[in-house]
Amino acid sequence: MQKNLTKYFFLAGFALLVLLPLASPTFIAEYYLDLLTKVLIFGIALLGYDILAGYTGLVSLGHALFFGLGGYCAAFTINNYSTNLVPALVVALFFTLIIGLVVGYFSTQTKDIFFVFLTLAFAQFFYLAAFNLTTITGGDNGITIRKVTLGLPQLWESGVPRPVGFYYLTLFFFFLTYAICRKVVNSPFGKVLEAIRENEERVSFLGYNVRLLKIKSYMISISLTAVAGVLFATYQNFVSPGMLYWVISGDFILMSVLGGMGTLIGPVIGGAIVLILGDWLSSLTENWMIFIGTFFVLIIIFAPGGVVGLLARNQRSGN
Amino acid sequence: MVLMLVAGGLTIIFGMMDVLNFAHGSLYMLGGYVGYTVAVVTGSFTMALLLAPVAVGIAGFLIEYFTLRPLYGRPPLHHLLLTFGISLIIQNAIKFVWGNDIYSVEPPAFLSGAVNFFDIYYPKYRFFVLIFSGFLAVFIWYLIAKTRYGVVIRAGTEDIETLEAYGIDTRKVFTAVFVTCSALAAVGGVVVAPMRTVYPQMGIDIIIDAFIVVIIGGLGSIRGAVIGALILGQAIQLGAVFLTGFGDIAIYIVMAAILLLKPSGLVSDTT
Repeated sequence: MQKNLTKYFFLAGFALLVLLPLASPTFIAEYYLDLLTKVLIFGIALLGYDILAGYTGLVSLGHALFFGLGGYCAAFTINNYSTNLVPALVVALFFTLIIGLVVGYFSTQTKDIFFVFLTLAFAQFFYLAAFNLTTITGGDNGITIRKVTLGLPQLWESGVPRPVGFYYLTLFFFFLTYAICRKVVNSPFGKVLEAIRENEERVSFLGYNVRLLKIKSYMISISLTAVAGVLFATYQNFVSPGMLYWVISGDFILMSVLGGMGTLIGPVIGGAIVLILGDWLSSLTENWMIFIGTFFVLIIIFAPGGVVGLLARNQRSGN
Repeated sequence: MVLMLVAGGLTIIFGMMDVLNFAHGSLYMLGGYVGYTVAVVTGSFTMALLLAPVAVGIAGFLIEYFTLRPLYGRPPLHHLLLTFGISLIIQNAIKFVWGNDIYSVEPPAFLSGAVNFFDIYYPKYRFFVLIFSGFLAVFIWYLIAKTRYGVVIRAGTEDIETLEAYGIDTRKVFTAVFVTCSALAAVGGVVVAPMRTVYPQMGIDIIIDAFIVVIIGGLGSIRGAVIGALILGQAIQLGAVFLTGFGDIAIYIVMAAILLLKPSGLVSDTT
């Protein structure tokens, strides 16, 4: 019964996300579509983040590195070679894998708080590099990106308004990411990752190569973050060092914890809460982060499982 | 030197309470802003130096009593996240009260101007900061190494349960330590104001540096924090000379290198 309920809930969410833009004849207000698109893009990054932080137990403060890397790769590919999205994704993933392998190799030597700060150090290194190498990255001014086209140009430009088109594109990637993450998490590999989170030593006693597993988890996680970065930059038509700044990584943590780490859907909900609530609050006051911060503090004290954990607890006590 | 005051407090709190306090930079910042207002209202820098730490100490007490207490015993990561949230609150509250402006604070009259030091003119105020923080550091060292309070603190960093078994109320000790270190950060914020002004990013700027210092030095080691502060200062200076425009990068290279070679930091004992 319980399981069915969750299933219906998911189906309803799915249908809602697909049909929402068609709700009114003139499409839903562009403003909300824009917000929803951002929620989904962050959702992709957060799903990736959860694999590492939620399931493997390695909290990184350096995911902005790959978010920004995706953005810059997209900028260079699109501006210099092709406005197609696919090559941009391929280039971004290529560089992410190379840089990620180096950063991941070194970072996984450490754990806990040291992991937090080592990943931060690497990310800040790239942030400062992007900030200072003005000839390549444009420094603080960033790079304006040409409008991206999809692999199927006739479909893309056949009169579908751009925001709606991009919304469905993002939605497609979001569901793809969710499916991949679900599969990873449910696989034996995913179970071992959880075991590492719970007790690393025992896993290595069982004969697993913990280090290698951690690197694998890291690579999956950052690849998805990079995809989100590509989408974010192409959606904004702009990339700047801000995408590499540690505040972005901090936001990932904030959103994940708010929603509930290690549940996949939790961080996505957390991201939606922060973005939507933030959007609403920012129309009331400039310092809306006070409220998000307070909410966050309350969650940590009273419900370390996040919003999803809170819901699950209520459901259980209700039965 | 000011960095040492912040990093020192950070490392004592961590060593004692297992709390990596992300809000420490915000407390430092709060100290700077309160100090600015006190200096403007009373016209006295000395008053600012006295009152700001008291105000921030009270803030520290509220944070410890209401948010940290329920969390003792949870993994250190929770504390980091919690204080991260608190720092968001403090920073935006400061923006709410003082706005986004940059304020400059006048140093007291007898400390303005420059001293002639072997034909090198050095701003008198910087000289004062150097000596003042030096004295404060020695005082803290004395407190920890030679007094009964220090014994309790050192015992606390070693084994908190045994300390409790000796009949000491560790909760009170925690509160006292947290409040003192908060006040210390505020002193740093006030002292630094005449040199670098009071600005909205000052909390973030210092906390990242302070964390690096603490990590380099070895978490929870006070001696390590001092060494870390000195290394970091050198790294910034050398970086500025040899890698023009990339001075800041040097810090992260040093930190990454030390973390990789000696993951537990330079000084891994806890004294």
